[in-house]
Amino acid sequence: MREEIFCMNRKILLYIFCFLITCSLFSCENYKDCNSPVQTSLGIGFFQMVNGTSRDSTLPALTMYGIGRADSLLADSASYSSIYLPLNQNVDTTAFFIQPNSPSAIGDTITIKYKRSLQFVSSGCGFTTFFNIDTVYSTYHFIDSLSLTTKNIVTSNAINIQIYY
Amino acid sequence: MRSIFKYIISRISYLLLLIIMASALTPSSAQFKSDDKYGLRLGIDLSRIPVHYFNLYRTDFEIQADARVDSDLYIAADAGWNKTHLDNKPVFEYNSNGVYLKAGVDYNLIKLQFPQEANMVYAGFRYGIARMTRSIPQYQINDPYWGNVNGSFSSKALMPQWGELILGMKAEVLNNFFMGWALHLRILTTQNIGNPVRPYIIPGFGNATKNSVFDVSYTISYRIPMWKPKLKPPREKHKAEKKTEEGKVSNDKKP
Repeated sequence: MREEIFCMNRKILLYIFCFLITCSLFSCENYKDCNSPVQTSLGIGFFQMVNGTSRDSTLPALTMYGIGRADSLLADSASYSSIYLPLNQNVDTTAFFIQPNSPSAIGDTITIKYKRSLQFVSSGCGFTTFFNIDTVYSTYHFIDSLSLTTKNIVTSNAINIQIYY
Repeated sequence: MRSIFKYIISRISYLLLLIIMASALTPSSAQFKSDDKYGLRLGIDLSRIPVHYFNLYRTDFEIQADARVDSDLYIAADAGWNKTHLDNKPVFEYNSNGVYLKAGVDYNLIKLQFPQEANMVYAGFRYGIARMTRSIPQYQINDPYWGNVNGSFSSKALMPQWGELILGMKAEVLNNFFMGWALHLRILTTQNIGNPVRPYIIPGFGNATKNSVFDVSYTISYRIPMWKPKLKPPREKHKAEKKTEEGKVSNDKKP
């Protein structure tokens, strides 16, 4: 009988031990961490036509801002071969002003029309907006031509519009 | 580096669990006389307590019930409740709560030491259905240039379903009183649920950011003796052993 009780106690202890180990298997999930890319930016690449072939080119001393946000520059007299711009996520149209700072150059306005789709990323990152570009308009002062190469804007930093000057 | 350590430690814990499981399986003797009675076994899953402790955003509760229908076969059902609140303001806030029901069978894998033994190492299957609502009271997309985007999603009712495989054990540690633990593999069958925002925790399923999850449960249960089933002797071998034992006893008593 004593042996039986001892055996039973040992068994219960064993199961309590089991329970403690089970506890150690549960780890904290930090749902507040954001480890995924969330930025969806319009990628613009600058190109020059040289002898009938397009070539990557750096546009020097560029000034750039969003129409309606002239007080806040996206590029301030800096050189870029490509640039990533934020599209307005509250409306379906965004326009930008681009001007190379050379004495002869006149600035151009690019207008982008797009569809927005709300995309859930994770509980840590929240939501982001994916875009699908419908059309791109532009004035042509220093810009020679432009082409829409990638219509969808997702979190990969792709070049969406090629500007030839 | 930390995650590698975490991974190794969790693997070692699983190994330890398996070893302990094996050692706990050494057949217990037929010390419980009430084993000739059967009934409804009701249990509570204690592992939901540390789950809440480690992840304060979720609260779970589960009760389990099973009843033996054959010497090796049990019908089983689990029911429970979950409440989840994610507070990652201002980026994301999420509320959900719901109830669930799982129904299925458990099949005992060990050879019984005596016909009415209730200790079990079992493989089981469940099909689970949850009824939940989830809402996103507020979210914000950060945009320093054009201005932040704010929005919300109102409450939405969802009915996720999943299949579940179980490997576990239950041992009668006191008369009619059982302790046991089990490993669970759950696979979501309604995988495109709740667009655009999938539920973070599905009641009874767990973290639903993946389509399949692995879980551990630890149950204490009490068998309410209610009926005595007509059990077939589980194995021919047992029958033979029993007969010889009886024979011996009667022989001893005679002189």
